[in-house]
Amino acid sequence: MRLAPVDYSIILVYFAFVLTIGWTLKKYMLTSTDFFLSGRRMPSWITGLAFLSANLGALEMMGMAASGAKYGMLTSHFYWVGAVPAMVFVGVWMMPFYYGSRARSVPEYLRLRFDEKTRGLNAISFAVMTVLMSGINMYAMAVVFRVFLGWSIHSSILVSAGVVLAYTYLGGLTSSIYNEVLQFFLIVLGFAPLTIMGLRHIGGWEGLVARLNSPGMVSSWRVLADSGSNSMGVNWFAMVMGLGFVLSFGYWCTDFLVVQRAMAARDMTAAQMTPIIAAFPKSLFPFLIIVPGMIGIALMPDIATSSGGYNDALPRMLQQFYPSGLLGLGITALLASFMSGMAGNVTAFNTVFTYDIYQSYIRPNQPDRHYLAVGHWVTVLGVLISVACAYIVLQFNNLMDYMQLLFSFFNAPLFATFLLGMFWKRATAPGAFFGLVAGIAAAMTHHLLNTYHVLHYTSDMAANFNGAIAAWTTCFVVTIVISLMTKAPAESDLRGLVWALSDKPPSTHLPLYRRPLFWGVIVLAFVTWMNIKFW
Amino acid sequence: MSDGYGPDLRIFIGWMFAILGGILTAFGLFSPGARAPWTSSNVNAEWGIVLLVFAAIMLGLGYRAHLSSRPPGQHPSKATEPRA
Repeated sequence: MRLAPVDYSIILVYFAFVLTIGWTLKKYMLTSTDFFLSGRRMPSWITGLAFLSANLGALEMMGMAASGAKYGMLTSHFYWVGAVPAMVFVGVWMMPFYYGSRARSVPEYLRLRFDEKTRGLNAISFAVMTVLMSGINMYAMAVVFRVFLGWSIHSSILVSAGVVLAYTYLGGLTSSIYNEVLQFFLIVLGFAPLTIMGLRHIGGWEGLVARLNSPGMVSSWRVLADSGSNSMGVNWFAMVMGLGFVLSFGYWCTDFLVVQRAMAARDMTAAQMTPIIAAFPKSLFPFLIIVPGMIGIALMPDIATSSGGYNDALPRMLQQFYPSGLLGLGITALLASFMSGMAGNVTAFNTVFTYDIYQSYIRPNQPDRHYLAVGHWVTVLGVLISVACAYIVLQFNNLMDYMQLLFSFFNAPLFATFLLGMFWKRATAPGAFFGLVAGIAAAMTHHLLNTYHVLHYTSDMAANFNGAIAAWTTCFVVTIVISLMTKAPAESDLRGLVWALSDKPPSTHLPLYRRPLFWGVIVLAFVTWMNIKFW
Repeated sequence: MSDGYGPDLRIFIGWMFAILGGILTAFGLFSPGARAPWTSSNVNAEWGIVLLVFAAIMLGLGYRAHLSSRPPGQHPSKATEPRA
């Protein structure tokens, strides 16, 4: 693929706007709350689209298109089962505690609800994972640009890291959020023509089904009766419990990268609406991302055996359908998805590092402007570590898989801790800490048992989902047992942190169409309908 | 101001897509023959116009909120007909 001058001019316009936003917002960054939490004054449509966009890294775009090419509509489970229900849950039931407790981060909520140990464990593992993940993303993206556009790895990494650094350094979370919204529209408007032209070319959905000639590719549930009858090697139980419950709720409900966007909202209703607004476009994304992958494999079956494998599906589709001009828009959309993912990581990292590590353990009790200055420097540090990580992965390719594996150990049990913390007032600090440690240990043990063939699964994905279930269950049970053995926390310490001891968010005074639950039910009804339609 | 900080975000979005749409439409009109292997029409011009319409909606919403928030008071909470 060769980019023409018109394509480069589109990329330049995008860069210019991204930097202008950062520059314009610079003068509003007066306190650390402005920098880390956008002063808590964002309207919900902005935080909602940013919530979605921060998660929409380039790895996600490429990976889901690849998964569409490989597994077909089974991939929709990552949206209609593995995302939307958790997004509605965090909005309606968990946001009252995150936002209402005035915690500035997810780890800080853990300190308020439990104690310092649990916060420390979560803050440190989150900070390390986030910044390394952003490096992995950067590496993956640079490789794509080298293969398809012939750009040098170094310039891809340095230019994109430089732009992200500039706008997050200048405008903090606000700049990241504003740009994420911009990127959201760019991603949708940049990729929509691919689905439209692809379907037109192949003769619509019927044409696609006929061309694929494989019923397993176009159904999402029928093939899940047992793990042997589908290409993912997963049965319905592992899909619903492992992906739909443990992994999905663990990510969408506890990952500060996304929750931070909701915490920046201007009031409780806006905070609750944030993930629910995000759920609407999320429920349509299978058509934007998975369907092009499916069209790709239907029209170009050789993708399966090409050098990049299924990951080539999205770039090859762009190559076949986008002429110069539109190609610039498509590449800009890929760049945008990459930058929004990276900026999300960087802003979440600098908040957790500054508030939960630096202010808590290194230098407490400093004036606010000290932490604002630290926040700026930590932004630089975060980007530098990401770049370093990208170069390390460049040298040792298989490190990437190990790191992702390690991260999954820390993430899987976390939702059990939050669920018990928020909805069971008897859960104690020692229970939470040791439950979490036991859950992480269970995830590692499960992995070792699988590696040494004590356990047998039909696929890596099945092993992954079942490992998550094991980690979650262990954390859940151990937290309950240890909590019951230790002294119950005083109810006066739990006000606003636990369901039974909190004022419920006042929504009854709102008209029906402004209530979070109302919209939550609508989007859940929509995904239920989609699941039935593609049964 | 209807947004948290500074200028209305919709105005930024609107101008960016106005420029991108303008570039695509112009390129589509001046090089109507630009095709990828599997495209059959002048998609640059077609999609450029879609981007311009989107930009007009964003700018309309943004400036409308901007103007009505001039006298101190509530910004309109309901979106109505987009106008550029």
